[in-house]
Formats: sequence, C-alpha cells, structure tokens
Amino acid sequence: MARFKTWPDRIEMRPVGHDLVALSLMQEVLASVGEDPDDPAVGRLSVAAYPDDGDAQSEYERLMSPELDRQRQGDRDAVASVLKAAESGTVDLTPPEAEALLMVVNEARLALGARLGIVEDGWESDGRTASDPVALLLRYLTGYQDDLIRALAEQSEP
Amino acid sequence: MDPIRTRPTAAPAATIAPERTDLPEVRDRADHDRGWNVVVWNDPVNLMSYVVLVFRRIFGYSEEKATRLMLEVHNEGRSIVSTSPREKAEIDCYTLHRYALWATIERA
Repeated sequence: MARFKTWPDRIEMRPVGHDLVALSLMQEVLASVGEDPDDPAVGRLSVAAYPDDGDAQSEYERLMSPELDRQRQGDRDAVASVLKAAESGTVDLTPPEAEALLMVVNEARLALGARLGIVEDGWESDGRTASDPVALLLRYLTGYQDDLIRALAEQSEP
Repeated sequence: MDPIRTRPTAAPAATIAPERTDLPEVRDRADHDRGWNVVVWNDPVNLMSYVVLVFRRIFGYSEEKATRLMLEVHNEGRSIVSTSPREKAEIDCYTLHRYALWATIERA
C-alpha cells in the first residue's frame, strides 16, 4: 500500500507500517535540538550565510534568524496537526501542509545525521550504525521522505 | 535515495496550514556592483531528489538545470546556484536555509 497518492490539488497521506511511530519520534528529535549545548544538530540546522565574515553574519542573523525560527515552528505545528489527524487514518494534505511535512522530515534527518557524525556518503550501508536506534530512525525517515518527494515531484509534472 | 556529500568544514487546531508569506527584512546596501553568489554545499544526508526538488521550487529551474546543479554539488562539493544583487541573494539563501540546505553567500 502506497504512503502517498497524488492529486492535482492535494496529496493523500496514508500511514503505513511504523510511520506514525517514526514521525512521533521525529517530533521528539526536533524538540530536543539544542537541549544539549554540545548537540551537533544545532549547527547543522543553523547554517552561516557568511561563514568568513563575522559582521555580515551577525547582521544576517539579526535580520533572518527570528523569521526562520518562526517559520520552522509554524511547519512543526502544522505537521503536529496533520499527525494528530492521521491517527484516525488517511489525511488529505494541502500543498502547504505537504511542503511543511517535507521540510520537517528533512530537518529531523539532518539532526539525526549530525548526531551520528555522518560526514560522507555510504552511511546507509555502514554496519557500525545498523542497530543504532538513531540510525534506524534516520533510515526509516529517509524512505518516508523519498516517497513524499516522489509524490510532490509527480504533482509538479505538467 | 542517493545522498550527497557534506561540506567538510564546520560552519556553520483546526487550521493546520503553515503561515509562510512574510520574508524577512533585507539589508539596505548598495552592493550591486558585481553581484553575489549563492553557493550550495555538499551534504551526505540530503537526498539528491530533495535537492533537485528544492532548486526547482525556489528558482523555478527546469528539471534538467536543477539536476545539473545538484550533480555539481555532489561531484564538485559545491555549486553556485544563483548570482544576483545582495538583497536577492540573501532572500535566496534564506529560502535555501528554510529547506535546510547548506547555503552560503559570497561576492561574485
């Protein structure tokens, strides 16, 4: 059974397997970012626009960071509402909801990747992390995101 | 599901639709001379298909151009995805950050 079905004006989301558990864990991962001051996920989700120019970066952060934080929180709130509705079964995602889900899943994957210390290709077949719960969640969300991207790309086709 | 590599240096209720209309204020500078490049760097966790989708979404690039730029990121470690006045470059960079791509700005 496919997770997503594409319609011209919406994407039908049908939770399968462990989707709802994984997406709930995803929310916990994102909520925990920054709780530990040494959490590498913080740096990955807060990329410097001007890494070699402190003054320009400070000004960029002043202008952009509050809005980025606000929009990301809006995405997470939207996804939380979608997941609550999905507990009862299939949910129709509006284009903004689908986009929010795409971005939130990606943020969580990046946070997990940073915590696992992934810095190069091949991590998917890395035996070291095969049984690591963090890696298992990353792999699950990777498959989930791939399916969502396919659905969104299909919707974009003329 | 193919990932792309990472930049090697550290840098850096009822209504459920997210609000995403306002873009932040941009600086008022007269840095329009040579333009500013927005650069996207490699990341091993981001999916290739995700990067292509984001480039198409943000810049309106064709599938072919978005794929070419994504492959440049993958193979070369980075790609200049746009060149524009500083204000526009900062908005583009912000939007890429919104999608959590590793984007930076540099003088063209």
